[in-house]
Amino acid sequence: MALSKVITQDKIEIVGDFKAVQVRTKTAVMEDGVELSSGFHRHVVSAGDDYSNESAEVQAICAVVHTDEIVAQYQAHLEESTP
Amino acid sequence: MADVKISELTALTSPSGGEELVVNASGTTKKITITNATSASLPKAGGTMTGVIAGFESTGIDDNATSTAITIDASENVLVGKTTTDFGTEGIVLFHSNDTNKSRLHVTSDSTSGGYFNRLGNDGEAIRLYRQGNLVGGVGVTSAGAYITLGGTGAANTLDDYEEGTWNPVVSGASIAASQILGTYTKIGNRVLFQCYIYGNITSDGTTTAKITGLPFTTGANGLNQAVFYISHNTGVDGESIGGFMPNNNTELIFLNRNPNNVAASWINGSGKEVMVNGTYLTDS
Repeated sequence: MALSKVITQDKIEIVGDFKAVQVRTKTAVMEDGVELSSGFHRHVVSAGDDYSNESAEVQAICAVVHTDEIVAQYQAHLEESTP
Repeated sequence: MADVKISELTALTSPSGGEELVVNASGTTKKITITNATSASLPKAGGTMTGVIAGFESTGIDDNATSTAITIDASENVLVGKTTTDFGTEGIVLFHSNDTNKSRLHVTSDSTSGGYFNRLGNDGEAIRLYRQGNLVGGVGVTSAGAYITLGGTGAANTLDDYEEGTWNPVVSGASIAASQILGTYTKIGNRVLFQCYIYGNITSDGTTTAKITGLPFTTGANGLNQAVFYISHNTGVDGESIGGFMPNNNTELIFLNRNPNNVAASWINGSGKEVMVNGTYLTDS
């Protein structure tokens, strides 16, 4: 009977006009390969965010979708949204 | 009676007075005693057959079971894997329409699922629910997961996502130290319900807009779907703030003053500041 904790990014989505990269991290407790329990944690990498500490997969996605143009558009959207 | 040729039958020399079938075997009269011919046979009606039929096989039925596999009880209920309709006993019962259980299916399984429904091919319903013959709902499957339809079968009646989890609220517009921060969320369909707690020593310039970033899902794209949040136990945000809003296409909470109204609020400088936040918003995710 071996217990282990397995952490995976089981869902990565690109959402919205500004290509927000939504990441779901799943933490599962496994016993001999059978999942006993699990929980989710989410974070979003928005255009212009520093993604250097993200996983290699998320970094690769951000590098493609967070173009200079998208970053500029999102920054303008943020400024426009703030009262 | 064992098989014999007609020529091997007992010759009929004179009637015995019992039940005999007379047979002509090439000019010689033979007899078959009816009682002998039928004594080992099962009556056409009534009677009891006992023992084991080995290797039974017929078109449509092939029984290779080594023990009782199907029982049809006196009420014409069909039982598989058990011989009683008791719901607490493991097995399957298909109740007859005349039974008090009215054509119901009972499945009792021990420490495992009582039913598997596997839709092959395209996405769609795996289970349909009817009322008086009218379709009212169901359970479907897609490559992304399962969904249920409630109160109708259209897209607006479809619940295809439910998720609980945590997120990291990040103080923006000030720095925070010695903090205790927790964010949780529940997503039901396209609606995200969230809350967070922030406590710590805040260093603020008193002018920068107070925000919390890091919402678990991006807010919806529609600019008219502006969402709001409310706060309590507020010692961390100025302007008598009672909350703020979340712009579209965003992951930020922006705090607003209550006095003057709808002006961006700022974090309050100091130690032991706290704010409790609760809100909901639409997402396109």
